[in-house]
Amino acid sequence: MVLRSQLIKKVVNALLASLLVLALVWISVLRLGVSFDFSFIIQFKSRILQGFLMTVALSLIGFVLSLFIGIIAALWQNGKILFLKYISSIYINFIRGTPLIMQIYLFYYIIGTAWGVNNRFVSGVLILSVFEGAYIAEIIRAGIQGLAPTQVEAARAVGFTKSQTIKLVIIPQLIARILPALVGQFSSIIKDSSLLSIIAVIELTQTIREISALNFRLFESYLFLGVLYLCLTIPLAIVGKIFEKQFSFET
Amino acid sequence: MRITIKDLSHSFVTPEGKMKKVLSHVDFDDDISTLSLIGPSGGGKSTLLRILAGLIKPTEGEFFIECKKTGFVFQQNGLFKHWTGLENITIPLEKVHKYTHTEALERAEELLDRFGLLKDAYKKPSELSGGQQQRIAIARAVAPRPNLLFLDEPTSALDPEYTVEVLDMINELKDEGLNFIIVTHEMGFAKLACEKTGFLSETVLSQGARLIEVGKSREIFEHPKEPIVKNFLDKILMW
Repeated sequence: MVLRSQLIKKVVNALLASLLVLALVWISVLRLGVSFDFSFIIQFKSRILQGFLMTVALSLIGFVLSLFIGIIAALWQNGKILFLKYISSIYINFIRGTPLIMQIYLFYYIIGTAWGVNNRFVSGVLILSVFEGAYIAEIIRAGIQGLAPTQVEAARAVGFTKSQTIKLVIIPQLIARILPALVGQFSSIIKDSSLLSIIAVIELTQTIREISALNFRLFESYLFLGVLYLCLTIPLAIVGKIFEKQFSFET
Repeated sequence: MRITIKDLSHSFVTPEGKMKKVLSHVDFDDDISTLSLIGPSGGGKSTLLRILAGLIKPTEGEFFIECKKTGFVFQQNGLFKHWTGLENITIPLEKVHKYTHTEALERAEELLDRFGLLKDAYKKPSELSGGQQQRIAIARAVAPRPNLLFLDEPTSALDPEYTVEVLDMINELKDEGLNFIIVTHEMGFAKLACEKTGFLSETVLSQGARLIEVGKSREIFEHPKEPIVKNFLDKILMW
């Protein structure tokens, strides 16, 4: 019975909150005096789909690459070779200390011009991966630092070899610690990839920008753009929550 | 079981970068079955235990223990957090002692059942009480049938009622012939359940602890020879 009344309380409050947000949007729309016309979605559906798939592709490849970069940077930072430690430190601090939009312009001209990479998709993925890699390195570094030293000592005490300790104890515990944060970072990658529109990578945001420039349906276009991003990020948020619960043995 | 320690010293570097000597010229040569190590906090008891267990290497000196297979129980958090109590026992049996999965499972269940822990076997350490965690840690340590068990203050992080159940379990294993060395603050247990007791402490003259007195537990507690041991016992046994 207690559970049931709690459930009702939750549902009522969720409805109220949603209603308030919708009302605010509705009033804003009324004040603008525009009427809705979402017909462009049908009209441009293949372009929108292409943009959507491009964003998914950018984010997926970007995530894999940035994971790779992040692992290396974190290992260098935690390692004993001072030279690599400093390289990693410069990289992480520079990337985390400057805005993505500046990096996109800078790297696009460096990578594009100096190294002759003319493919916008390839440049875009590289820039995105380098950017996100720094954040992933920090996530991994924090994960490594948070591992309890007693766990490694216990591994020694039960007789595990070094490689058994890494394989059976350190990596599973590390993954449990960082997985929720990594899922969150994946969500960031999806959103950050929208900035690649400034170097004319035709991903989702750029597609919508182009369409809205044709039909002047700014409000509907960007509202729909938001919905499409939410289609990607909300499931990820749910997955992140599930991971958090599943790995709660850490706390 | 013969244990010989020859002129063993140990130092480590503090976080401030200074060398700190914890053990200074420890000598020991005796047959033991159950030995408790007592003494003031920071007296190097845990360090000595870790050295004997092979977890750390002493900076100087050497030691010999007549047996190969040992087990170790930590003060706390010794169980692997990402495994259930059962897995904490079976996985080391399989990976280190080459049991088959079925053999490991049988051995683990036998031990857990005996100590009334079977119903908690599928819980992760975070879902268990401190006393349950320590008893599973002991079960894990004795599962491969070691000749000697090291226990590092196994009850000092526990509430009194859990302390009793853990000490009961150790005592029961002792009655079956398990040899152990325990670092403990439970003076009653050291006196009554351990055959011998060693008192480890720094002295005014030495930096780093040494074994001040070793002998039959009853004698040490009732008639300590060294004044420093007597002072220590008088102080802590006052209440």
